[in-house]
Amino acid sequence: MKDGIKSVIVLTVICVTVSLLVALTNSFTAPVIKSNKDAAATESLKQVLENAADFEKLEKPLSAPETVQEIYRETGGLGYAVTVAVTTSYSSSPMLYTVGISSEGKITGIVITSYTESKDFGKDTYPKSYIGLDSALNGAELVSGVTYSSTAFKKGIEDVFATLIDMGLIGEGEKSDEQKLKELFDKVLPGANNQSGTAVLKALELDGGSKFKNVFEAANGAGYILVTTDNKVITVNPFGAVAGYDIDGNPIDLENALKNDAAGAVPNNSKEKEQADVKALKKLTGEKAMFTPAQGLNTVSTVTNAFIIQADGETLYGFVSRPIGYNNGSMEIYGVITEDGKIKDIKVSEIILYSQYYEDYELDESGYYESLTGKTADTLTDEDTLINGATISGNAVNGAIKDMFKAFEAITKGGKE
Amino acid sequence: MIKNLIVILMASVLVNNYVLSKFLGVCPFLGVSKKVGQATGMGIAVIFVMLVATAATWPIYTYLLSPKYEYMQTIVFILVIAALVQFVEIVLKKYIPSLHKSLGIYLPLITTNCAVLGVTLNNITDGYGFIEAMVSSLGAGLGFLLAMVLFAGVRGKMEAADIPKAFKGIPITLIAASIVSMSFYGFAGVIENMFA
Amino acid sequence: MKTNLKHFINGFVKENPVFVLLLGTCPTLATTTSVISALAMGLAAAAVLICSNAVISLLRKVIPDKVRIPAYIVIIAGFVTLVQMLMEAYLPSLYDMLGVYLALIVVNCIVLGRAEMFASKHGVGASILDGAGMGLGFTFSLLLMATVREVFGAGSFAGVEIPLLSDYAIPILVSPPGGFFVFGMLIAIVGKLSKKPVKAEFGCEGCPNAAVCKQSTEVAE
Repeated sequence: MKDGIKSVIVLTVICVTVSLLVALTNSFTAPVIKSNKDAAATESLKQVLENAADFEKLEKPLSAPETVQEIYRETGGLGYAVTVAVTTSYSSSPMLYTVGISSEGKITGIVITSYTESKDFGKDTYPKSYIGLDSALNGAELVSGVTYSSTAFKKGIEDVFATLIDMGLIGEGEKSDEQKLKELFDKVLPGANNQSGTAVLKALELDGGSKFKNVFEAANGAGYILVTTDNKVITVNPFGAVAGYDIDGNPIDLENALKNDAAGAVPNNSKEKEQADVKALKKLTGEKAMFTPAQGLNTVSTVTNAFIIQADGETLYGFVSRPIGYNNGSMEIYGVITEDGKIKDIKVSEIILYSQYYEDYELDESGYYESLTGKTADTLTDEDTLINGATISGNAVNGAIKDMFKAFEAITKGGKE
Repeated sequence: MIKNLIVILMASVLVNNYVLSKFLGVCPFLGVSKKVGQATGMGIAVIFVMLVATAATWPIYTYLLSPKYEYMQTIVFILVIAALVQFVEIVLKKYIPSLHKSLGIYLPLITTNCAVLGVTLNNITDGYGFIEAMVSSLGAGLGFLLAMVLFAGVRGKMEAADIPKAFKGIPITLIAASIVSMSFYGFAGVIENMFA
Repeated sequence: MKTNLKHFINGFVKENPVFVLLLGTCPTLATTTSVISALAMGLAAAAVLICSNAVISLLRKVIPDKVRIPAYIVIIAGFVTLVQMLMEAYLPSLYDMLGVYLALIVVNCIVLGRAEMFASKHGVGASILDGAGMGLGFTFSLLLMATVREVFGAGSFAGVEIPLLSDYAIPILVSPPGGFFVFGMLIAIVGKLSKKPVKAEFGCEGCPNAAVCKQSTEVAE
């Protein structure tokens, strides 16, 4: 018993003494450690902004994204340094880095303070591609193999720019003409866009001496995009209607000569297509129906052909729409709409199913079409076109039918040129 | 959340295997891995202690030590682990003697096993929450068990081999460990692409 | 004095903790990727070893036998924490380099082993010399292994590139498998040179748990 008490007392005394000693040392070292850490923090700030003398911390706006940690201003006015923490789904510990941005709004340097890839793979390469870029980030790379972190990395940089621009500290970067044009292509010809909003185009060969530097044809035949040598963007829809935009995407009026040049520069093979489309539509209307092509429609959509049809004393409207579906494949959808705006019949030449996963899946096609019959532009819902397991194709069909209704309206309410 | 936990688990079992890439717990790995049965017992005991230790040290650090007494971390953790192992042994002996018979003998060894202290310290350094810390400990323990059992199999084969005299015993064991470690190296890219 | 000197030299050669006693394998494998981190690890462990040996030897008559292991652990952990704090304050880059392995000196068999085997039975002077010998022997062994790994694995020595070799570096030597491999080779070479049979067992004689360890292995068999 006496032994036991002695043991407890000795052990307690040792514990207390050791704790006191440690606490004492800590009171000496803690301030040194803290100043070390602060120095290391400013060290990374100095690394990203060359010739920087000193930094002052700026108040972070409440609206700032959570990736942005701390914002510093170089006291001499050289620029800003921002610390960023981004989480990747790969690791729970965030990737930390500091970005330097000059007062002109260009990235001057990036230092990664904590990197989460298991190997340091990519650490030295992709951040370098950001140096010198402005908020447009033209030329920033995503690296395959470290997709998670390089995507998160880019997101963090975008957040930094957004915050600084928001605070009125730097101006927005100018996007290059190339970049702007590419973004414009996705806007001016919506019918050529795939379901994630990117235009699927193929470049055409140009005749020599042209006014145009590029001509693109929509992969699904939904029109053409022409770029003039002075960076105007001109679209020609499948019915020959021409529209013009400046590089920032604002509609502009075109001189007639330019319009004619544009219309002349695109290939004209509508006759063959027209006959094929008529043949397909006749399966829905009967062989005796009379087809008149609707001329000069100015809609810009997936509708590539439109007809006014006389069948059994009734006036019908036939449309062919070619939306881009799964895997950027073009689908063909034939639709007949009655005079009072109801769907009479719909036929999809091929529903692109998510073939890898749905090899055995068969769509109840007749049921599918039946549910669409009789719908108008107002009563059509997203559920009507839903194809189980083939969302992209279903969405494409939905968009196509909506485009048909728009074209129908354009014809019947005098949307002709 | 679940995805994140799976990633943590797989990372600590395969990619950052405690024994083969962090060298924590090498002593028992080389000492107690002669027979598969022995290796399994030791491995299970380690998983158990790692989980209990994390369940105890994480709250202690988060609610008692942080942020003022962080410097006491090492002392407190080793004492808590030592006390826990003692406690677990007493409880097992008294209430589940059969389990004590199969695992109890390994428990004292684990007190000074650097893998256990290492995993509790790493959970704090990595900034894990409680559930993540538990999952990471489970992964570390499973990784230890996996390495032990695999290596026990390798050693079984080695006994039948004709080994140069200078390499008999420890040296050849280490070189075999090197090759097993190399095979785990192949898992390096697994996590990155698991959900890609 | 002569015996004291013997205590000191013992740690380097006859009872080299790493290559002969096979103690402290974790830090040996983990921190020998570069000469600098090996040196830092060795010296940190040596400092802890000398201090804990001294204190434990001083208190050897006060500490009751029953609670000696917990008492040793507390003392050792205290010194480890001191070293940790001092390093973080004055050598932050080395502190980051060693990471968790610095804290793990607490469970390093060499430290606890010397406390149990030597300091608890000898006077302060001898214990300090024993600690210094063992600690420097440990440092020396780490350095030797780190030199092999860094020179051939990274083509540099203490961070300074070696011409020619840096073009033909063998990166696997600085990776985990290389650690096991180089360690195995060095033990074999040391065994061959000393003409003593290498320990057949991965024994833990220096370890306070040695008795239990042996017993548990036997029971399991």
